[in-house]
This record gives sequence, C-alpha cells and structure tokens, in this order.
Amino acid sequence: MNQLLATAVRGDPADNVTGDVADAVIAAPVIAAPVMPVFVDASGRRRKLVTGLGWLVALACLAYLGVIGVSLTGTSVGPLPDLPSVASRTVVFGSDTAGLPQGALEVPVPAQPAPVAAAAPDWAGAAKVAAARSTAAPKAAPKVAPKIAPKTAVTTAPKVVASSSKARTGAALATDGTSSSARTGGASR
Amino acid sequence: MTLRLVRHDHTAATARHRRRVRPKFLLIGLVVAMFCSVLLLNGLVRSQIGIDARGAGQDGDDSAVPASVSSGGPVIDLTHGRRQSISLPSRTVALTFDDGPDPTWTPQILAVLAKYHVPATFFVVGSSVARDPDLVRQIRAQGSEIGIHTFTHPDLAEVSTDRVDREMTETQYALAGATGELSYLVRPPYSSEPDALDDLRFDVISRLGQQGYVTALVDVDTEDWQQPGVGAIVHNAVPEDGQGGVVLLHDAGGDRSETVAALDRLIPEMQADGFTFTTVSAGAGLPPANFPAGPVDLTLGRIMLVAVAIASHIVTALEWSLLLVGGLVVLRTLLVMVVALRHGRRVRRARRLAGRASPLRKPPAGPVTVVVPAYNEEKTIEATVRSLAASTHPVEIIVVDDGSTDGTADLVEGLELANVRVIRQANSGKPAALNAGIAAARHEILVLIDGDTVFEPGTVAALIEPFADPAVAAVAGNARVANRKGLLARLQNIEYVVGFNIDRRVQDSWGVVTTVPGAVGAYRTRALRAVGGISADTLAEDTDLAITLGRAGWRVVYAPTARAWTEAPATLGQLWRQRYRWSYGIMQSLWKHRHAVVESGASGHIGRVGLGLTALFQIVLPLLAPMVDIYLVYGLLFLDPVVTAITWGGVLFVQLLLGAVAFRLEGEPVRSLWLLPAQQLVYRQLMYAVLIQSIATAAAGVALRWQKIPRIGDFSGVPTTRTAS
Repeated sequence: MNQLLATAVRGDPADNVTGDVADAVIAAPVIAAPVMPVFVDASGRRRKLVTGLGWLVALACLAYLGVIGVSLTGTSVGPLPDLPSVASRTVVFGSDTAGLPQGALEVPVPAQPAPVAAAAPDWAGAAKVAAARSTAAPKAAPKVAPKIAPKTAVTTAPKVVASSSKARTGAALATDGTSSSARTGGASR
Repeated sequence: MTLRLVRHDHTAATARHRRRVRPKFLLIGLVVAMFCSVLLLNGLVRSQIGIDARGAGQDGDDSAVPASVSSGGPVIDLTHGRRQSISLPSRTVALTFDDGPDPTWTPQILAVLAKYHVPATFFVVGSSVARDPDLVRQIRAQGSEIGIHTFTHPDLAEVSTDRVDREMTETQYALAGATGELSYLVRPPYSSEPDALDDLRFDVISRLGQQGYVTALVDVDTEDWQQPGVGAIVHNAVPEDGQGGVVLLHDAGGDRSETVAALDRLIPEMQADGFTFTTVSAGAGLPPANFPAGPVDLTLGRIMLVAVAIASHIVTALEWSLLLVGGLVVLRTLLVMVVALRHGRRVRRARRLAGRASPLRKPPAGPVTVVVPAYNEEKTIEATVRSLAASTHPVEIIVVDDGSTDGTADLVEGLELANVRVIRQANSGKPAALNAGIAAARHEILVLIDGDTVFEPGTVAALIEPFADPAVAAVAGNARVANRKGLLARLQNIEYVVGFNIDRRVQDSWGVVTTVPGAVGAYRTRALRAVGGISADTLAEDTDLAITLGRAGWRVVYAPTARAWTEAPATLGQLWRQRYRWSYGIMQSLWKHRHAVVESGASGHIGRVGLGLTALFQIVLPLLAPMVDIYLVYGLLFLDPVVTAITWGGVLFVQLLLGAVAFRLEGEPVRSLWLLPAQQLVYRQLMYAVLIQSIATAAAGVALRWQKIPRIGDFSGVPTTRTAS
C-alpha cells in the first residue's frame, strides 16, 4: 500500500516515504534539536523487539492459514468400516429394552426378498430382536413366540430389500407386503 | 496545518529503499490473509443454513432409480456394490433429528430423550459441530448416535462431486475433533423419503455408497419444520398400521419448541402403544454408526476445531470493537449536535456584543507580528505574504527562510513590501525557524502561519480578538482547504469542516483546545517565551504547544471566524505522508503530556478532558473504524445483506446529518456533502492505515523524518470577496 503511494510521488525528489520500521536506520536524526524526540529509542532495542514480534505474528498467521487450508480442503477421511451385508450379521437394536421380553429371530437373506417373520406386535415388545444368520448362530431360536397375545402379524426383523437389477422385483414388493409402499406413499411412483 | 522542513539525503535513501526487502508487506499480507480466512471460516460456520424444505428441487427425472430403492426402506446400503434397502421392524421407531446441533434446542431434546431413556439419531451439520463441539459430545454421552448431514447443508445434487467429498470430510473432521469418532451414516440435505429420490440424488447416494456411506432417508415425516402444532407432530410421528419407521424431526433451523413438546408426548404415548425406540443403525441391523477415528483424522479434526474456535474468538472481539465504534460514533454525534451547535450560537452572540465594543474587553490595538516559516515555498509564498500584507489589522511580517534551495527568500524580498522582513538561516527544521521568528518579533501578539496558507483581510483581526481576555495565551484559527480541484482536495475539505473544526468547537466549549493549527494561530508573545518557544521533540509542535500552554494555566481558545486557506495535499502519497506525521505527532504529544491526566487544576482538566477527547476521537475511533468496513463485507456475504446494507446506510445517514450541521456552521454550501459516501471508500481506509503505521513506528521507537509536501500554489477555492467581518 505504502509502496504504491510512494511510487505515485517518486517523481519529486523532495519527497520520500519514511518512518517505516524498515526505513528506520536511514532516518538519521535530521531534526536539528538537542532534545530526544518522543517515542524515539536510540538504542534500537525496541525496534528489534517490534520486528521480532512482527515476525512472530507473521508466522502465527501463516500457521493459521495452513491449518485452515488443511482442514478445509480434505476430501477423504480414513477408511469407513467394511459393513457386512445386512442379513449376515447379528442385529441388536433397541436400547430402551431393559426388562422387555427378548427374542431372537433368524433372518436368512440376501439377494432375495427378506422373508417376513411373523411375530407379535406386542406393545411390550419384540423390541429386542437379535437376528442372526443361521450359519452363524444355528442354535438361535428361529422365531419369537409372542409373549403377549398377538394381534396382527407384522415384521419384527429389519426388512431388507436387496436387488441387483434395476427392474422392479415384484417378488420383493409382494414379499415385503405391508412395508414400503403403503407407508411411504411410494406406490404412487 | 503545518509543514515540515527537511534536508534529505534523498539519493542514498531511495537507493536503499529499493534494494531493501520489505518484510512489512509480508506481515501485512499475512495478517490480511489471516483475517480473511478467519472471517470466511467464521462466516461458513455461522451463516444461516437452509432447513430441509421437503422435496426441494427433487422433481428431476427418476427413471434411473431402481424400483427396489424407490419403493424400499429408508436405510439404503449401497456399499460394496450392494443395493439393499432396509426397513425397520414393526413397532420399531428410529427418531432422527436433522440440521443440528443447536445450542438452544439440542440440549432440550436430549433432556426429553434422557427422561424416557430413549436413543435417537442426530444428523448433524458439520459447521454447527465445529461451532459447538460440546453438543455432539452430549449427544454421544446420552447414548444417541450421529449421522452426517454435510458441513454447510447444500443440496448435494447441485454441487460438484469434489464439493460433496469436502462436505463429508469436513464434517467427519469436526466430528472426530469433537468426539474422536467418525460416522458412516449420511442423510443428504433436502432429502426425504426413498420414493422422492431422483436420478441426480440417487447418483449422489450411490457415490457416497461406494465410499462406504450408508444413506438413511425417512419414511415418517413429522413436518415439524413447518411448526404445524404439537398435536400434529405427535400424530405425524406414528407409523401407520403398527409398522416401524425412521421418523424425521429437526433440532435446529428455527423455533423447535413444538418439536420438544411433541417429543415429550409422543415417546410415552408410543411406548404405551408398544413401540420401541432405537437408533437408525440398530434398527436397520447395522453396526453402530459411530466408530473411532484414526489418528490422522483425529488430529486434523482437533486442529480444525481449534481453528474454528480461534476464528470465533477473533470475530467475537471484532463484534465487541464494532459495538465500541458504534458507541463512540453515537457519543460523537451527540457531542457535536449539542456542544458545537451551542458553540455556534455563542460565537454569533459574542460577535454581536463585540460590535458594541465593551471598554473592559478591548482587543489589542497595536500591530502584531506574523511569522512565516518557509522552506522551498516558491510557489505559494507570494500569495501568502500578499494576503497578510492586505490585513485590516496592522502587521509586521517576518518570513524565516529555512535554507530554501528554490529562491523563496529572494522572491519575498523582491516583493518590496514595507512591513516584511526576511530572516535567512541554514536549514534546521521548522521549530528552529519559528523560534528564530519569535525571537525577532517586536510585538505583544504573534501570529504563526504556514508558507502555504493565505489569510483573508480580516483574519488577523478576528484571530487576535480573544486576546482581550488577559488569560488567553493562544487562539486557534479556522483552517480551510483552499484548493477545491480534484476529489482528494474536496474530501479533505469535508474532513476539515466536519472533523477538525467541529472537534475544535467541542474542545473550545470545554476549555480544552489541544491543537492550534500551524496554518493559523495566534499567541501571546510573553506566554510563548515563558514556555520556551516551539519544542522540537514532537512532530506536531502545534498540538504540543497548545497542550503545554493549557497545562501552564493559560486559556487556549478557538476563533472560528478567523479563516485561513491552506493548500491540501493533492495526491494520495502526499496525503499519506502528511497524515502519517500528524497522527504520529499527535500520539507523541499525548504521550509527552500523559502525566497531565493525574494532575490537578488546569493541567488535570486538559489532561483528562482534552487529551481524553483527542485520544478517543483521533486515535481510538479511527483505529477501530476498519471494523465498520470488515463488518460491511462480512455482513453482505454471511449475514443478512439487506439488514447489513440498511445498517450501513443508517450510519452514513447520521454522518450526513452531522456533516450538514457542520457545513451550516461553517457557512459552506451543504451540497458539497454529496461526496461524503465516497469518503467511506478510500479516504477512511487511508486514514486508519496511516494510524496503524504511526503506532508501529512509535512502538518501534523509530525516528520519523520531517517531510515536506510539494505545493503548486492552488488557491482556487479561496473566496476572494469574503471578509472576516
């Protein structure tokens, strides 16, 4: 800024931009007076101090810019977990389930519509459902008997619709029965 | 006001000037860059984000969306080339909260969840996480899980894939920094149910799936963002026919009190109805959504949060200083309105009374000595001397030539005016030149004037009028801008009229005039000699002298009708150097007389009121003025641009009002004020840049050289017909 302004008037030899910290040395005492001007430090210690502080501030700013640069330009984050296919693992959900009836449910799956497991709509529960693939947990009870009188048959396991083609799988829809279309209004599509 | 005389070792100085590396500019550049990024970062983190308007922009072609997805469950696992849509089991509900965390609503929602021991899933906006990392820690501590809702809440289908990646990564960093965990669960902003997916948005979630993200959409929308009423939200939250569902709620983006109240009803009601509450991942049979971050992500995340915290603190400090600026501007406006207007009335009344010539208060009748220090004033000195010689009051004119190299002295002698003397001396600076003139003065009253200033015929008479009071030692005249060609001169004219002269009226009203302008001032010779003449230890010897006299118990007053016309610098460079010297000199004077603040009597009055006013309005206020500009830009970009523009316009209007008052007081045509908005753009920035440089110079203890500003002798703006009567 100063430099620009200085250039603008450089044509005049009577002028000189002065007073910069950097220019200080050149600024020999031209004031013809025996008094020491206010603020002037003849030893130059303060000038060194201010210059040093300036460098510190500059470095801090540089570091800050670097930090911002790094944290705002990252485009990838450490590896996300390898999620196993949904049907092939144990599912435990519901954490407000203390004291509720427990049940395990076997859900065979993949590549085809999930079978709907009939279970109690129980308002006590079916809450804690562990679904395990038969191979993994062959001993798990395949179905949960309703502890409380069942009213309607509804799914208690996560319903999985998996397909490898873009074509609509009527089977999946059919099997899924009550699941998506009625609930989401997706049938209108 | 004044100009300084100097002998330059110019050639050597310039040569070194050019060779020298200028670390100063490195510092300035870095500081500016840092400030920009601080504001950018803070703006990014704090800007208002849009809330999820349902189905926003999602009306595109959807032929490429597989039917199994669009009619499938809300949790869509597209990782590892899979395509699985997962619905929650019956009577199993995952409450999800979008757009948070929010310092007001998130804790309230967590409190309700904790009350019923129910977990939920929070899809957080990364920028909000960075701003309030503690909120996500609370979410995790409560047992809920966290999904990603991007960093700045854009519609991911409308931005580049690179931006999508950055949005995800930055949010992960923020999450890692706050909780030490990452999340594989994502909900794109503005998404809703799977059947609303179009091709573009399916592409986005497919890409995210390839990176390992599971998308969690919604199958039960409470529409709580529309604030439909507590009852409606409760009703909307219950899946039909006893099915399970991912329920969409919001914990940010507006007044969420309905959501909180609805939550407090729907949880117990649904629990009573047999529903179980769970998280999205658990409900979908997936592993927990949050998992420990690796060391790199953890470090980057922590660094990011520190950077955001620093930015936040800096901006808070900026906001406080902006508030201070506002307070000072209001204070100044009030002062000017009340004090300056009253001063104007008093001056007019005094002049009416003076017409009746009280015998007790008679201004000195004898001639006065006018001292004109001159260093290379060839272009202007003739106009100056001739205007003085034409004074209605008898004058003795002493031109002190301070070793000029351009024949200034010869020119004056060549005028052959009877009452003009020329003293030649080797170049030794303006104070020495003034002192030489003072020593040679023969009269009781001394008028000191710059060699680039012209007086009106009645100026001297008006200037010495206040000396009728024997306690008055110095009278400040009214310095005005003579050259009116060019924008810069006009802007300076505004500043002289609205700034300096108004300030001086306020100071005069309180008996604390701290500057008698070097361009036009009168002194009692006795008082001047008593304080040792003109000092050389500050660059603003006019300010120093006025304060010294005031501290010694003399009165220093302002005579607004004693007008002198001075040539203002015509280029930015000249203006820079002039103001650099002024502000440095004023700071020197304040520092030199700092002890007056704790003294008693006249000295203490000057110290506390005079120095206080000067420091406040000539140092502190201009130093904080950049806040106004910074906030203007910041506000236009990140806050409400309309509100910002209106606020800025309001401040400008107040200044215009102030300007109009000042112009009327000075008898200037008010229409010149139309340039005031232009003053906000370059001029003001120059003023505070100069001030910052002065402070740096002062702190470093560097000697600032005296500088001479070249004149061209343009007195076009001087009203030739005007007299001081």
